[in-house]
Amino acid sequence: MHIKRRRGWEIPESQATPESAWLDRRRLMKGIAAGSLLAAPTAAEAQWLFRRGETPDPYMRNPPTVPDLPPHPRNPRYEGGRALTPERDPVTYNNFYEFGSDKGIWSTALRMPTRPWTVKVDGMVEQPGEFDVDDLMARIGIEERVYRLRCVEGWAMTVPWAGFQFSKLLDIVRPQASAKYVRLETAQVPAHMSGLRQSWFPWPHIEGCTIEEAANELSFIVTGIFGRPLPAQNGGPFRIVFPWKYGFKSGKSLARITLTDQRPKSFWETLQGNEYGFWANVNPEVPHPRWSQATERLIGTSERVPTRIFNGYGEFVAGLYTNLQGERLWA
Amino acid sequence: MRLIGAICLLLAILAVAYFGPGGTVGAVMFSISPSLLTNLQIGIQRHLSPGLWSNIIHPLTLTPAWLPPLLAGVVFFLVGVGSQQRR
Repeated sequence: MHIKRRRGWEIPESQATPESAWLDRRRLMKGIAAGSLLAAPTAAEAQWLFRRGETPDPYMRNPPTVPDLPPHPRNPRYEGGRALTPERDPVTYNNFYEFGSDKGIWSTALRMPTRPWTVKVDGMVEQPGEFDVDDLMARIGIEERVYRLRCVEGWAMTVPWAGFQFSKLLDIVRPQASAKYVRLETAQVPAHMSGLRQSWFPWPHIEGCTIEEAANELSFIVTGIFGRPLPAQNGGPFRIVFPWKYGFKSGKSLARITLTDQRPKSFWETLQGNEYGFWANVNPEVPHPRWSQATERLIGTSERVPTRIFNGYGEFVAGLYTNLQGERLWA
Repeated sequence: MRLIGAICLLLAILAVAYFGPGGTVGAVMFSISPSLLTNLQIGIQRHLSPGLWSNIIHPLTLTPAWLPPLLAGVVFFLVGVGSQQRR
């Protein structure tokens, strides 16, 4: 006769804690842990703390009604000269301090709605105004350009951006003769930008350039990437790209553009002016104080290739700097 | 131990008095040196672990400046009192 003796640790299935209750308990414990750290965190903060709820699609539109980009033929004048970075990498590997200080902020950034979105253009212009991003695209028309992107940290990408030449926006607002610089201000959306809680940083994020740099044909307002609307983690819905400068100069999610006769002091220049200056043109022969800039690592393949002066765009921009003796052009 | 605990508690009081109850660890570090935090971040992310920065150090910078010395002070004080009672 077989007698089954139950061991001390064996319990009937009916006494097992239901899975839903177990999951709730884990959630509760994490909530308590978060609460003790940061006193009643918001959902965004809890998500930021635990990296929960990542969306599977880094190109997700928020709101879903964000329209497709207008037709944007590729401009053959601007080719990357090397293979495009795999489509997922540029939208999942980002520096955007308003959303956090690591490269994995994309899922947090996607929670920020990118419509409606307007950009105010003011200062020393004849026709100041506030422009809706979709109206601007329809009014100016957009095209695709493949640009190389070189980060000051030593990595690089090759990306098909969609958008329009910055000079076309300047043509609309008509800069006054006294305007010498352009100040680019990133939006501040505290409900979605948990990084703004780092109160010691000099928010809002400011970048800037000279009026000549802004008018250069390479300066490009970007509204799309890989044929789709630009997601927030890449600076959507409206950013600028200066491909011959280190990437931090290319302001993201712009809310305001001001033309001025005063040189703007940028976010990074305020923090560490000796390492991240106003000009920040790419130069492989001028190392960062703590690392070489001679080569760059291509995101996607990890191949290391030589860095080129002005990121290879010298034929377009070298002339902008011929009469600037005494300026620290390379950092 | 109790002396270390008392010093930590004093630091917590000084942190509240000087930076206010809302002053964070990051704000204190920034007031000491504006480049300290960014250099620390870059150093940790490049040479140790990006996760160490994201999950531990960075959240710590957002905590009130008085909290770490207060917790350390309480722990040191209690350990000091406990060890004295065992003697």
